Amino acid sequence: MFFSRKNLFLRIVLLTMAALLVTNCSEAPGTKRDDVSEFPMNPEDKRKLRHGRLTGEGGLKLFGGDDSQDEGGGTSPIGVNSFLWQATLDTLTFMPIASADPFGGVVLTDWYEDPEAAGERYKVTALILGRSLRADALKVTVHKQELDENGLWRDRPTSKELARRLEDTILTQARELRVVSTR
Amino acid sequence: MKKLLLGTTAILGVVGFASAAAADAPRVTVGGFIDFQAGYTDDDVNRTGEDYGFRNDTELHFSVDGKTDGGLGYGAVIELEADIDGDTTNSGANSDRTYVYLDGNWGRVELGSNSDAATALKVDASTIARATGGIDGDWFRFAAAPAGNFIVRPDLYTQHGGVTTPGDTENAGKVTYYSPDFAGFQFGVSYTADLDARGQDWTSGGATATDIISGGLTYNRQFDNVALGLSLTGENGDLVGGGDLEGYALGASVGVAGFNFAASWGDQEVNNQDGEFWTVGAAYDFDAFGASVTYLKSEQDVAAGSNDFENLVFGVDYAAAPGLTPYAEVSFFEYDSAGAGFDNDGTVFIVGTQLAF
Repeated sequence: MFFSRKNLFLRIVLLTMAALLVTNCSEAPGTKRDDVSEFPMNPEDKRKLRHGRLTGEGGLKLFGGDDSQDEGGGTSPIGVNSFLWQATLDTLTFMPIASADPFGGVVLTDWYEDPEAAGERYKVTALILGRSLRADALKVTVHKQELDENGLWRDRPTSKELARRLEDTILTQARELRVVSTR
Repeated sequence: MKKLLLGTTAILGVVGFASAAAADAPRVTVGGFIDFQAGYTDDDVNRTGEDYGFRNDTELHFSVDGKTDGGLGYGAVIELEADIDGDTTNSGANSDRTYVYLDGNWGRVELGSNSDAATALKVDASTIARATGGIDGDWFRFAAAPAGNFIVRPDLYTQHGGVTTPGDTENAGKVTYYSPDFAGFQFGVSYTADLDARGQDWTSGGATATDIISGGLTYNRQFDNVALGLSLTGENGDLVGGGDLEGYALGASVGVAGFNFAASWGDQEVNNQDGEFWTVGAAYDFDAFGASVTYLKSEQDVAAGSNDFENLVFGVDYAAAPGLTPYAEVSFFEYDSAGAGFDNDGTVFIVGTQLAF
């Protein structure tokens, strides 16, 4: 009998496996690809590590491996996280770049006036702090000027919204770059 | 060993392991833990020695981790036992677990001696327990075990090999596959050829069970402040000497604002004898302290009736420093044999400290 108790468990397992494997293969949206390193662990092991370890996150490295396995993002010679750096440049290239220092992690753009919004111009400063890919390692500030009635550029306050949106765009792209690079 | 290598080669072929050049050179790390306990038992058994004693459990873990150009992760885990004497459950001979793994976007495969998918995926009161693990912890090491068939841990049959004191059959040689996490769902399945084949001998001494398929399905989700976990686990195999073995368990846990609650129910049928167990528990974390209370009740059918067991465990632990965790636990247990068999009820107190490195 198909649903006899003896076989029921096996049937459930096989059907579920089939269903999940098929959906995985079709790359349905919502699949978290960058968390696949989190695999189930025996509850006793989880308990042992619940309060961390003396030697830190991964244990004590004996030999082998290389620095690219750290979250710092690469054996690149620049002083800051390379994914954040590349994502910042990619995001800000619609504006003229006045200076870009990969060792200090500073990108300064020049004044940029959008042709469709005459009379307003923007300048962006992006700071990347440190080697790890974290949201708080990126700081973007936006400066705005408006043309007054005498034809002079005057500083105007900007809302933090634009800076935040630029930060989000850069962070999303940096994460995508990292996921692609670890495949 | 030869079979393990053949199996590995076959799987590597399927996955398409083309490049020999490693993207990341394999990294070897060492870690482990040492756990010292002092325990005292107050029960119905007269011992020739004292009712209290010390024990310690020490392991040294080596991990090898690497990744190929194609994104295939590979590695091994070797957990060596560093105890002066092994224990009566057969654990502590040379090593606790030794296995090879392969992983990637498609999931993870483990080959070797490790616990199975049903154990790793289960959710029950012990999975939220503090100190030594509550109802699944070290209380049994200080209590007197009766002869007879009792369910004393919230585990399916093959995890304890059918003996009352938890055995070490959970580390029989096996092949396990875990799927990636897909929208909160994850499943795993393991195949164990022979429950007694743990080390170098593959020829079955065949004392307990063979041909075991076990696995589970879990769902984990974080809704704002509430974390939900659900699991369905099960197993199916053949008992040596004839007879079927099957069991399944359902569990759920909820975490909110520092509290965790969990409950589970399991049912097993071994050679036409039914057994059932229930667990319920709660845990709370505040600052560096964690406290938990867990309860297990079980009934196992035997020829003379039903062997009942109950256990209520309170545990507390404290994160004194990274990796250093002193703890204390008290456990109230009761074995009630069917008919005129051995009954034992008592209390176990354990105070200990664990260093994980």
